Amino acid sequence: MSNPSYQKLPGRGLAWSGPSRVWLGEDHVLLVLTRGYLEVYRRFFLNDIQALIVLRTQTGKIWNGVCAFFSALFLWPALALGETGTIITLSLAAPFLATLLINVLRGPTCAFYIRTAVQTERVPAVSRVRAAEKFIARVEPLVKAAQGEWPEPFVPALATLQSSQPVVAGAPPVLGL
Amino acid sequence: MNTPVVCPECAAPVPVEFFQGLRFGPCLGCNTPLLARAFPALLRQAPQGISGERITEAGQAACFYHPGKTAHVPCDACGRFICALCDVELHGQHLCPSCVESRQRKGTLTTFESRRVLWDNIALSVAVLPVATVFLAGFSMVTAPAAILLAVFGWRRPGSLAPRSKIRFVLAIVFSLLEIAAWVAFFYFISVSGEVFQ
Repeated sequence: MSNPSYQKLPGRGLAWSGPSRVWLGEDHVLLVLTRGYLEVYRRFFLNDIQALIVLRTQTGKIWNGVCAFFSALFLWPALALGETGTIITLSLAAPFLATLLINVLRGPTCAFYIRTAVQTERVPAVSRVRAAEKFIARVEPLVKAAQGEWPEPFVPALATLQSSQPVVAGAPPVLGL
Repeated sequence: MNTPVVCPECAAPVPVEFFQGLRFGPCLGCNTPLLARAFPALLRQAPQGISGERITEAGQAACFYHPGKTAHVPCDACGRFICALCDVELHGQHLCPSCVESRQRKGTLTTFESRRVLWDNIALSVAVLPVATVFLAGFSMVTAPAAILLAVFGWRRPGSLAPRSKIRFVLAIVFSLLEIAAWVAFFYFISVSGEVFQ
């Protein structure tokens, strides 16, 4: 049975495992990862979200380059060929041109992460900068409302925390101390 | 212990100024354009674990699961007394571990569900794939009724947690009925043409 209390959040992405989407629940963000005939869920409770991080990626530019290359590859012979040849090469170039156009219109790509006390999880559903900005604009006020005000004075405390040494995952334990 | 927010790419700490900016700024470690938002939970200290208080006086109500611990609250579902350790607070309700488990088993507690089977996708695939692959089309004699059974079986089963229409079930049934109709027409044609040739 579907849960009508979930609202759609901006973003629709494709991971290697399959498509994914994000939904806004009453008190949490639900990440839905479709893996074949299964849906796998990750919940990020608004009260637990520590940070949202967006990193710009080069994926969109790489796809643009690939599509532009194949478009040019098929369009170039069209200049030298007759009418039938032109139609064939144009029809071969069309999917690449369409992909290129869609990719350009959707804007730059990004990697979006949600950090909680126990994990920093990549959200493949949010893969465009525009979607990430919309996501932040939608979710940020809700997280602030759920968590309340920053403890005073928060800027020095935050600066101290950010200047501290990060815990590197997988670092070997120091023995003999 | 709280840890700083770091760049997921290079693990360099994100400067505080980044949390207030509206634009992307270069990461200090890898120079990748980065945008970040921090929230008060970042500075919150992790709560200490609760172990439940030991019974110190005779006649004190004891936890159903830990006879040596003081009862903290009654379970809102079964009424058993439970200690602070056994108390699972969910949506304003206090539940004992066995009630949480039984609700999870029955599927009435969606909070802990981490995966669900998409019966509509299965039914649609069973209906469409044999025909789509052409060389397996003969199997549709078996898969079409199977797809209808799967659609009927899955219709009332819990589907996706997110809003999702029943259109895939409908398509699976319609497509399967068309396949069955095609097979019936095929066998009818064979029987009729067989009589003609005799």
